[in-house]
Parts: sequence; structure tokens; C-alpha cells
Amino acid sequence: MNKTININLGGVFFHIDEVAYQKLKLYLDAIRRSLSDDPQGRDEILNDIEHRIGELLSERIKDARQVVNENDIDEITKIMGKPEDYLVDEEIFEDEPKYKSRVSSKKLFRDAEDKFLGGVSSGLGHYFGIDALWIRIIWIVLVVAGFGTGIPIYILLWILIPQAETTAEKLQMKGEPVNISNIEKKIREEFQDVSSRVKDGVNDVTSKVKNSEFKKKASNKAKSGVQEILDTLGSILITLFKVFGKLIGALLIFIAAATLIGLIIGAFSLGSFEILGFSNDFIHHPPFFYDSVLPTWLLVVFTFIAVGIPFVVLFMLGLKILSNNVKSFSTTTKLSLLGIWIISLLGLGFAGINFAAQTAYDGVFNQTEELPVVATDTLKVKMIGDENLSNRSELRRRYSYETVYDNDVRKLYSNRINVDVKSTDKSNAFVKIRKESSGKSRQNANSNAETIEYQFNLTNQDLLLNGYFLTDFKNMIKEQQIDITVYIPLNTIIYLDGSTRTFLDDVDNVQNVHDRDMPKHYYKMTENGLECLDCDPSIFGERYKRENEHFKLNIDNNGVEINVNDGDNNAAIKINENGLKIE
Amino acid sequence: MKIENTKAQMRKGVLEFCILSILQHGDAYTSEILSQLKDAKLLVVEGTIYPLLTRLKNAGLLGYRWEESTSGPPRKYYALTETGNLFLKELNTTWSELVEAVNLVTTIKPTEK
Repeated sequence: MNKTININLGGVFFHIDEVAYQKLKLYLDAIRRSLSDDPQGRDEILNDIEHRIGELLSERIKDARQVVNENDIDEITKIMGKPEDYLVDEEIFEDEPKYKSRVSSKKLFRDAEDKFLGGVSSGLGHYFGIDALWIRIIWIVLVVAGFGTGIPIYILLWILIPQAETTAEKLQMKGEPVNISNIEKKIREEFQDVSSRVKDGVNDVTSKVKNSEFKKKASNKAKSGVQEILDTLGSILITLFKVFGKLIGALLIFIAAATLIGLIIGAFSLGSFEILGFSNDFIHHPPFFYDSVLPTWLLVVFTFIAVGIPFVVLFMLGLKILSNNVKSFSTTTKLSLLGIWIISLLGLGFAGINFAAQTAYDGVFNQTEELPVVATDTLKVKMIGDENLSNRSELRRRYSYETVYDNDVRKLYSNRINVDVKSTDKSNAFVKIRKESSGKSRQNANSNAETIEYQFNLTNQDLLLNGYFLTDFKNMIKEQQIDITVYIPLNTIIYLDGSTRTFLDDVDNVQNVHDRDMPKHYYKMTENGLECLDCDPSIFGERYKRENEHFKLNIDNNGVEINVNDGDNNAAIKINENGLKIE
Repeated sequence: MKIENTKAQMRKGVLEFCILSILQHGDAYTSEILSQLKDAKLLVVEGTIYPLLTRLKNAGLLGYRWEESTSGPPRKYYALTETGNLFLKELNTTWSELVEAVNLVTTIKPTEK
């Protein structure tokens, strides 16, 4: 069922149905535009054409009650020819006839007649002049390869793009495809429009000047001229803006869509990957998500909304620029979106402040353990790792964390351990473990420190220290570390195993041997400190070497100093501002 | 270079000449001119003729009058003016020359070089 319209075509009365009317109207408009070079003759020509069309139609329509339908118009246009066929004049000797018809303002609609879901694809297909099949394939790729990311974008488009319902909308939907050559054409036409308007304007001005009885001052005329030029410039700018606006719109849509896809993938990776048990190590979560008063899923949702909504708005703006018939959200929707957005921001802000507070205080937990080692015993210190935990082959001190699974529980693995050796007055050796962590309060920090899992044990006078410690996964940023100090009585001998090399932290010893040179040697605890028993003098520290040299000659600004030392006796000659001194 | 374009251009070029020739034999209204041209296969689509007629009219080669019709609205009858007649005669001469020249060129045998 179709509405009919009554028209007068070249003096003959016709009933015409709506679809046919729109077609005929578009056809005549297109001809009018292709004849725009010849404004005087145009109306006359169009009149003739209307006459002829009326004549042709009345040949087909014998009964006055019969209605002109789409087929009739199609037949007529076939007889009369395309709008370009009306161009005969200057273009005759050109290779390609200039295609003058203006890009009809094509609009983005959903095509309900060719729909799979909402007709979005066919609508886009019409808009870009490509087969809807290709667009559907893109959707499928987006949905399958992008973990369903296409779906929300599709829904968004479904909501925002109106369905083509009236005939006029259907025709607008199928107008000329928007492509580069059409855009170029449009620019050209707009400029022609502008220049003809300028001509009209100038004629107008000159006629005014002629007609006026020179009452007006010359400045007034000049002003209107200037105004005319400004108007022209304005029109040119508007034209350019219109064209680049489309590009900007497309760019906005692209950026927004890409961001939304990224966000969705992000949300999925944080959400469902975990639920599905996909490789967790693959994803590096921000520590932010792990030690929060709010549950992780809520943070994910908040982040998604806080970032996503602005891009949804951007997406909508882009669509609006591209095609001005795109719907806006209703005020209610807009306000609720704004509300949700603000709530998400507040939630994130709250979580952020909470998170920042996590490291506000430093806490310590001390643990002391007696060792059955007394004077003259030999204690061997060794660092051990657990191959089942860490993937790294070498056990050494590191400041980075590693995610590991301890009996299927995800934990944080760290090698931030410092080892020191000191003397004690007690008869027994002992080891002191000092665990450090930060927290949002002193108490919290202390309890965080206490929960650090660390073990060591002693077998046959071998002190086996773990070269790692484990903590809750959420403690990612709490600057946890362990300081181990081994206290040994005087005359106890200690052997540092090679594994301790990177863990030793500024161990004081008589010969100033550097930490990294200390392992694999025996040391005895003397009154002065640790003394190496089997070290090569080449690893002794500079200061020790200097102080224990047998002969030393020093000449500098202070004068000359000669020292001789044979172990027990010292002799020195000093020449300085005080004169010569022999000791 | 599309063959269709070239063909259309050839046809369009002689169209003015043909319209004037048709009107030489008596006044005619648009549909009559159209049917003659279409019978002669000079015209594929009708649209082409309207700008031509208007142009010829504006150039003073054609005149027109409205004539009541027994069936339907009044018709626009075109007639050749005095200038149009002269113009046509000149075109006739040119056309004969052109036909001769084209024949000469297109039928020339390679051996006659």
C-alpha cells in the first residue's frame, strides 16, 4: 500500500505513488543541476522536459484512475536518458563528459529491507557504495578475531543510526556513494556556487551604485565590496570545513572504535582470562588492581566506564559529523551516562588514594634463631633456591618481582635479600632475620612484613639460607626486602659459599675484601672483625693494602713522607712545613 | 577512451544539423522531431534534444508557437526562421564536403599510397 500524490506535469494531471514521485523528483532535480550552466535556458528546457514526460506518461496511463508507479518512472528515465545525457553543449569534444550532478546529500541509515540483525551493515554498505557482504565479513572478523569486540560497536551503531523508513530516506540512503571523486566534485561545485554568488553580489553592488543618486558616500560602497569578499572567504572556509569535517568525523570514529576495541580486550583480559584460566603470566596487571579495598572486577568495570564513555561520545560525534541524521542519545541516557561516568571516576579516585596510602608507612618484623655453633666451629653459609618456583636459572639478588605458583597459589617471588656477618659476645651463634615492608599504617606495615614467607635451616653446621622469599601477590609495590645478619662468636670460622656472592651486603672484614670477592673463602672472627684465612692478597681492599705496605713514599703538597715497616717496627721520615722529622 | 563516448559525440555533432533538416520540411512539435530522429537511430535517449532545441531557438535559428491539441495540453511547434534556413544551407554544403572527405579517407587503399 502506498500513498499517492497528485501532480501536474506539463499541464496534465496525474496520480502518482510516493515512491515514484520521489524518483521523478530526484530525476528532475538532477537534470536541473546538470543544466546549471545555463540559468536562462534551464527553466525552459525543464518545462519542455516536463511536457514530454507528461506526454509519455499519458501514453501509458489511459485510465484517469490509474496510478503512476515506480516502473513507469523507470521506463520514462530510460527513454529520456540519464541526467548527464542532457549535457550537449561545451562537453561535446571532451573525452569524458563532465559529470556535473551534485553529490546528493547522502545520509547514513539502516536498511530494514536488507537486514541480518539491524540493517547496520547494509546501511553502511549503501553509504560507502560497497556490498553489504564485505561489511558483514568485517563484522565477523571483528567478532571472531577480536573476542567479541565488534558486538558493542554494532549495538552502538544500531542505536545511533536511524532506520530508513520514508521513501525519501530510502532514496537518500542509496544516493551516490561517498568516495574521493565525489568529494572532489562536491568541492568544485561548492566553489562554483560561491563564485556565481560573488558575481551576483558584484552585479548587485554595481547596480546599486548606478541606481543610487550618489547620496551614499564612497566608503559605504567600498565597505559592501569588502563585506562581499569576506562573505566569499567565509563560504570557502565553510566548504573546506565541510569536506575536512567528514574526514575528521571518519578519523574520530576510527580512533574511538579502536580505543573501545582495545578497552574491551583489556577488560576481557583482566576479567574472563582469569576466569577461564588462560595463561596468567601473559598478562601483566597493574599493581593497582591487586591490593585495593575494591574488588578487581569492580575496578575493571570502573576503568572501562571511565575511559569508555568519553570514547562512546567521541564515536557519536564522529558519526554525527559524517551524517547529520544520526540520532543523539536521549537526555535521560545522556544524564545516566554522565552519572555512571562520574561514579566510576570517584570510585577510581577512591581506589587510587587508597592505593597511594599503601606505601605510606614502613614496617619491620624481626626474627632471631639460635644456631648450635660455638667458638672454633666452622659454619658454612649457603644460599639455596627452589627450581620448582622460579623459572630463572641463576639465583642472585634481584630487585624485580616474579609471579610464581606455590602449590597453585599465585605469589610474588623476590630475591631482594641482603646477607651480613657480624660478631657477637654470646657463646652461641645466631641468625637475625629482619623482614621489611610498607603499608598504609605502621601496624599494617608490620603485619605485612610478618607475612613474608622465608625459611632457612641448619644441617651439619651448614646454614642453608633461602635465596628468595614469597609474599602475597597483592604486595607488589610494598618494597619488601629481607636483611639477614649472621652473628658468630669470636674465633668461629665461617665459610661463605659461592652462592652468597650477590647477596652479601657490605660485610666488614679486616682485609677490606670486597663483597663479590668474599665467597669461597674461610674467615675467622677476630677482635678486629672477620679475617680471611685463605685469601690471595690480590683481593685485599686498597685501604688495607695501603696501611700494610712495608715501604711507602708519598710526595705531595704536604711535603715528603717515607714510611718503612717490617711488621713490628716502624720508621718514618717526614719533610714538611714544620721541617724534617725522623721517627 | 570509451567507444560509447566517441559514438555519442559523433551523433551529437550531427544532431543540430538533423533537427534543422527535419524542420525544413515543415513545422513540427517536439515529439514528432523525436520520433523521426529515433526512427533514424540518431538518438538513443530523448533527453539530449531539449537543450539543443533551446539553444537553437536562442540562437535565432528556430522559432516556436503554441498550438492547441485535440488530445491533451497545448503543443510547442518549432519552425525554421530565415536565419535558420541560411544556416541550414551552409551546413548542407559543409556536410556534403565532409561526407566526401570522410569517404575518401576511410576507403583509401594502402596500395595507392
